[in-house]
Amino acid sequence: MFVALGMAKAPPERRAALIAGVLATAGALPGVRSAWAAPVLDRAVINAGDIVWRVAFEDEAHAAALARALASLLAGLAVTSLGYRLENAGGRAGGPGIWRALVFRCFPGTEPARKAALAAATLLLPGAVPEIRRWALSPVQWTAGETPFEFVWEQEFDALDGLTGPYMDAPAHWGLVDAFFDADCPEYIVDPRLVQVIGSIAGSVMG
Amino acid sequence: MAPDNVLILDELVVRPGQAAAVRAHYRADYVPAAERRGMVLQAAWQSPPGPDLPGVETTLWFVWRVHGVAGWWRQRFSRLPDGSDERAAKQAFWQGLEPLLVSRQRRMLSAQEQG
Repeated sequence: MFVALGMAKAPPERRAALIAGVLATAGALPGVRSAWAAPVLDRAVINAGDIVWRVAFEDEAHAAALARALASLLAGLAVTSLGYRLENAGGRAGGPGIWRALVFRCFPGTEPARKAALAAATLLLPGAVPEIRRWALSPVQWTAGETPFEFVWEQEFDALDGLTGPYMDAPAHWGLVDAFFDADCPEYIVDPRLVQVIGSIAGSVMG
Repeated sequence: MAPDNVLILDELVVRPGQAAAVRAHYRADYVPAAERRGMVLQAAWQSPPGPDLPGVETTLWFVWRVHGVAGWWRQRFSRLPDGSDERAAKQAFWQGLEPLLVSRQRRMLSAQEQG
């Protein structure tokens, strides 16, 4: 499965129409497995813009059509978009909740072994935080935007509280994984210009 | 259960002859900034035990305490007095110390679970 993820800044009065337009455009493309678009939550987000969409395709070739199809709809807006093959995924489907993604890159020149250590540590979190009901840590294949992102760490929770509470409180998070994001730690490799994007979901969007 | 206190342990392996400089740099530059972030210096140790020995590496340990997980994230998400992100300043401090060090690590500690 190949995912096209996008975020855009948009004035409040245009957001609903843009979300509908993204869903209609994606729905008309061949090879689409699922499509979700929503307003970005106004809490706990970083550099995420105002609307987000996530469209899953059968393969990368089909996904390439989405950017072209959305070009006129999104003209004039600041857009960040990226594509990735879903990897390191697991968990269970669920009902209403939130989808959250941390989109980031490592500092240029970071050794592959250190990136692998970051990935391995990150993938400990689903086992340490039962509130993560579905997850995936995927290397980014392409980015359109200011920052060439490298990883998408996405999860689903039953509620935002699962992210702001148990996820943040987990010792495996602050005591281990966060070292890669912490400028005080020698493990520090993640560029702080990252994106945290969250949206409400009616059901699992990562299936 | 979330710990009431979290300890942060810095272990710095210092090049021969540089222990005094590292201690001075750490106490003059890092300690005030850390205290502003809510960190409390609990202990500072070294090995071999002082006084410093010429020609050998010295390992320095600084043990910090923060109040629970919330206190830990407070120091992690700290901002400078002008409101800007402090990560660049933290990184600059450690990069400045790097030529004096053989290696370093930072570990987060909690009390041991029973059993």
